[in-house]
Amino acid sequence: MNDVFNKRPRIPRKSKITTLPEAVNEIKNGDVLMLGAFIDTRRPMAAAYEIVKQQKRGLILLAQCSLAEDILVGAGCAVAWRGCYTGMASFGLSPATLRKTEGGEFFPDEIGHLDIIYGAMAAMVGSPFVATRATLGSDVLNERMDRNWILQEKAGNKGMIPGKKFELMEDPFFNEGLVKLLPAMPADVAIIHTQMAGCEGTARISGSLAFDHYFIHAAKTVIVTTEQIVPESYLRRDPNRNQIPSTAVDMVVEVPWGGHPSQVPGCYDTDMAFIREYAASARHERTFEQWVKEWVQDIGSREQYLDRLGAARLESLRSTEPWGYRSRSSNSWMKREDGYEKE
Amino acid sequence: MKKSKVVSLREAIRLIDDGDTIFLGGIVEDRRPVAAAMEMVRQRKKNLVLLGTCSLSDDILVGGGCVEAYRGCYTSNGAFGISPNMKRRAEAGTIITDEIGHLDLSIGLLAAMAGVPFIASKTCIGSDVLNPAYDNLSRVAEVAAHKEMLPNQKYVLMEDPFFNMGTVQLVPAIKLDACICHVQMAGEEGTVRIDGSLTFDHYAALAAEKVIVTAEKVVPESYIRQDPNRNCIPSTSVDLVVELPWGAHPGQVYNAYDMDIAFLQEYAMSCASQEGFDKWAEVWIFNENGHEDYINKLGASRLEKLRARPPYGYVPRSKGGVQ
Repeated sequence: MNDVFNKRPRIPRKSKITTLPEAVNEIKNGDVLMLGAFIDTRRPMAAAYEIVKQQKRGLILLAQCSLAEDILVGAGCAVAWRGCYTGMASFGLSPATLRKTEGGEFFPDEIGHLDIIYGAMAAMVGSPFVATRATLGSDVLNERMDRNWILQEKAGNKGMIPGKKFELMEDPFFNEGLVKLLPAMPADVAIIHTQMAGCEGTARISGSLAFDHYFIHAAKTVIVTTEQIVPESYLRRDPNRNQIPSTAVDMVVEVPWGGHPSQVPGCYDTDMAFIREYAASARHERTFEQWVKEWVQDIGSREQYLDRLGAARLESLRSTEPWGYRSRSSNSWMKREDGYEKE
Repeated sequence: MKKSKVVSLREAIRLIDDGDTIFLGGIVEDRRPVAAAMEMVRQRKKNLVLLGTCSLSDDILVGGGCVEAYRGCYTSNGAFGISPNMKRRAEAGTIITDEIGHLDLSIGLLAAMAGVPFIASKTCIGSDVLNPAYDNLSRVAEVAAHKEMLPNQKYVLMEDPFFNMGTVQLVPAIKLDACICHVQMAGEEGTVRIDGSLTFDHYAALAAEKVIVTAEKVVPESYIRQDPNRNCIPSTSVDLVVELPWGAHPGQVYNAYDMDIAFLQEYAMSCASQEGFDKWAEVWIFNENGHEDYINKLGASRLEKLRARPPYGYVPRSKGGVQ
């Protein structure tokens, strides 16, 4: 029987707390990888940089191909992707993904928006598939665009990719007519970035959970990077405020600003200038390489990354109450003096 | 502010129609909408199809003659034995029962929440849940006013075409006409905050056509929205809100009160016969002023002894606990 829904045997460790290089080292070439949250919110950016640094290869991405994933695509870490969204919101289509797809170096397999939620949901409950009418009549079901076979070919662990993209059948229960059987979307590794995590792995998210609470139950290995590690006993005082159970988490890494340049509600806002610069650079191979050199390869540590951004720049991003983001209409303490908000 | 959804218990329960498929929130004797169930008995609801579990609040509906069919996975009152009214009526053949698996309930509600017709599972394979001799689904459907809420068949077996998992069972969604949840706190517009286990309330509330929330406390919507991550059911899913202190007595409500063991024992003993239930119902259900009379009859001092203590959220009974 397929072990697709079982967790990977956990490496015996004294503590789940580890360093970013050590955590990312668990990712194998050819793994199916799911990065948490959404577009430019609560993305595990520091983890993505570390994947680039460790020169992982042949990764298959799930769910979306947005900010964090696009860097992996540009740097040649990811070879294929199954999901539903390849934009960076107001910053345009994910530039490296666009370039590499058009160049035939990267293989996207498109599914519907609802499909990624249902796929993660099915994997969470250990169910091989779920029925849906979402995407019927769309090109998601177009055979010519079915690249499931490429995913199968590229995956390190073949069992993670379904035998086929979908199957159609008549709904035998509620006379809904033709429905699509949508396979579960299990992952080898899921990485999520949260505002807070306990030393045993319980995690607390503020704002939208996106699908992180499904993803972490769909993956064999789960890495949580977090703004702050706190005592487990502190988080467990208010269990209803936690969304990620420690039992699902394998490794915890404290990475302040680990979501930069994306936003982390309650902590900091989107670094617009940074993303804009990335979006422009990633359009071309040469400028992308320069960007990666400047912001990933030449950066020796997270401390160096933060210092390079500078304390004043980071402070200008820090969220304010009661919004949980940086109100752009209010008076910033350094508004219009440094140029970050001028563009 | 949007319109308040707060109404009286009597008004809220009028939303439930005879023949509805209904799911009551919480589990076993934890956070059960008992006062709402008693009001359904008072209003003499008929031909309800009970989905999910048949424990405390559900068993009161069964004893009160509101339920004609039940489809679920658990018919007991925890430590207080098999649900007495259900047991008696099932043995006498005066109620239709159709058994599904425990996981079938949670993934069936998950499917209904997501609006999908079915989901695949291996959970009941090899068990009598799939035994045609016990398949009473079609008889359950006969009772339902809205037949389309129940699937045409109990399950379908097929080979998993995706992950080589072999034979899998297609589990149909558990569709609900109505869902009633009892919670610790609700906003005036229906946003719900639950303490402790959510059980399946957060699935069922999104799956049901009609949703009634009874709450220990109704608070301003603006207050409950200050910490949205602490809330479990969105106001958009909720139709009516009722403030109902002690609305789950004799069951427990985490952080509010513990279960009333003596009362539960008395219930279990009384309901061995229909006459026993009827007598019990005369005392506890058919009061002139409904829930108000119910809690007055219990008495303030009895209720105070049940009030939960921090940091436990219940009343500690061990010697090391607070006496």
